[in-house]
Amino acid sequence: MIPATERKSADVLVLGGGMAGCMGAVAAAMAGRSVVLADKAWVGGSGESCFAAGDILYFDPEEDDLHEWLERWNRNGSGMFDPEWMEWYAGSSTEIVNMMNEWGMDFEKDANGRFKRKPGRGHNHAVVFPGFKMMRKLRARLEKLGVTIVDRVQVTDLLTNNGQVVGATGFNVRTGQFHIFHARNTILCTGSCSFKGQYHGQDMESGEGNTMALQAGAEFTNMEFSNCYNSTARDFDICGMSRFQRLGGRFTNALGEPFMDRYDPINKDGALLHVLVRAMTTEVREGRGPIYFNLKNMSEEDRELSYRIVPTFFAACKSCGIDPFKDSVEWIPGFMGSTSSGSGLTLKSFACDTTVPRLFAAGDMANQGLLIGSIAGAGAVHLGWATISGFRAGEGAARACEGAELLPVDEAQVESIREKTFAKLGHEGHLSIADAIYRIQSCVIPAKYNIIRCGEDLREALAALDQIEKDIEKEIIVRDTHELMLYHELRGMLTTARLTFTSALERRESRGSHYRTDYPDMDKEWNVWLKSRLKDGKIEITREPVPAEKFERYGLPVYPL
Amino acid sequence: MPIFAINSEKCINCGTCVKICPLDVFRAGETVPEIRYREDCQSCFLCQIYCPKDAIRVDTIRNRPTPLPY
Repeated sequence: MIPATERKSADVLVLGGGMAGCMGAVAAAMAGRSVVLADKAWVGGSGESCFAAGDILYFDPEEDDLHEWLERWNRNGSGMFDPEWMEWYAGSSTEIVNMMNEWGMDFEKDANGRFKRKPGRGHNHAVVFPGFKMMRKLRARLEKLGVTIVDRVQVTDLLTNNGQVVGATGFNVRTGQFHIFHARNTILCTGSCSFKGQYHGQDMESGEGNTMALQAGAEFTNMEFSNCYNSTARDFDICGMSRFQRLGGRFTNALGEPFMDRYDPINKDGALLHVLVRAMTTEVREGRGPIYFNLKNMSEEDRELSYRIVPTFFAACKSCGIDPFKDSVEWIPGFMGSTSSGSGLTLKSFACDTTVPRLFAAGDMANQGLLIGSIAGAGAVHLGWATISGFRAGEGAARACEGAELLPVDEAQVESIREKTFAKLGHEGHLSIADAIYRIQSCVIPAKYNIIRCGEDLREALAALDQIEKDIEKEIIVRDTHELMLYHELRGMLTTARLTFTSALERRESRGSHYRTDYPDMDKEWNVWLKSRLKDGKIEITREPVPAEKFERYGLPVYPL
Repeated sequence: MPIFAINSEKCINCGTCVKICPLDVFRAGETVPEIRYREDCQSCFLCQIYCPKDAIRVDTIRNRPTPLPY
């Protein structure tokens, strides 16, 4: 029997309990607001943060130079970032990481008690900690602050009142109980969309938040850069690559040649991901595949650190009988979708508010292109972005409660959403959830759609997605509420893939992770941010010029040089 | 499919794995938890790491066929 509907109300509703959601809930509760935090898994073990190598990009005011940071990230992201946001991030990271240190979070330190910082892709400035322990500690902190935590509830829709967000609805993935959340302000931080691809620890990231936000009228930025691939073992999942790439990891081709110095003479095996996976793809297409990876050159000290920070990587290798310090392992681009990418929900100000009133966003689904521009998977930025934007969104949402009354929920809207939410429960047909996942993956994982692509490939992928959606609606098999969760995840994947390819068709140049064989060069004319939103049921794209006056003010070059 | 298994001699049926699994793979069972949605396991090892009796072994062979990039 399905339990009776549960209603909860709070000043601030936080959707998603990874790093961004936990930090948002902590900040809002510290500001004295009542907070409800909902997650489809168990808060403390949810989100990518648990499995990240535990890096946060950290600005040390005693050692770092802001201008050097701005030049570095302008160069990494080919001029698509916003220098004001990077300055905001640098200052915020100093403040918030030190605050977390005072909370007793386990950052690695040297003998003098200073943070140990390690290099990752594109930087040398990550403080490190074991992600899975941090998330457990954050849950304990939430409980102490009196945050109401709702585990195992898949949220599917935002509730609106005259275009303002007033809450959300969802269902318990085990019991089917329907939940109605009512709030003055809502923070969306349900992660982005990995399409359950090959990379480790991201299978829960499936884009439901993108569907919710798009339906509520929110705007996205630069979704063409939602094409992140990390690199991974062909046969098993790994994590920690940002660190390993910079601490002795080496890629070789089938001839045994290290090849990355041909593609990136400066960074070599530590290249940014889009450079790395394009190189891997090119080697294979030119007949020098497969690609291998090893850690033979890693120092003793870094081996010990790696064991502490990413024990899951070594557990994975061990279970396959592999010693990564001795053996070369076959390696492939591991698809991560829109996770860790320079794209996402548009943020209007440092309070992390979106284009929809009373809706805030943080973490991987909010536009971290404000920091990294046109690249994906820079390492340490993403967990840093989740931490910093999460905390700032919590503060912003709490502040926005001042003088803002709780707007009524439209009960007719709730009933219509309830019906839609459960419409497929018990649905019989000929398409299993597993087959539907595979079909969507076949439209996003192949290199021709997301590594080296052209207009024709993108149109082909969009047409295939339309057909898959029709087949899912007609034929999907949903036997229980667990599979109903997966059905809603399929919808999130379809939304994210459509946003990505529609925006990629619009950007007729190549820049960062977006590479088109029909427009292979970077072009000043495309120094624009592409904005996507829903109009009459279709995704509409508009252009907003990159704010050149800010680059001038900070003394930064405009790309392409 | 991850060939993961629960050692019924070590397991005390405390429910930790059922509680924490990020992908909702387990259900409470009478003597040991049931691995009901095995194909959804992402081999994240959280259950193995948090099991108080070291009763769970996770394998990392990919759980469902996934298209390769090339």
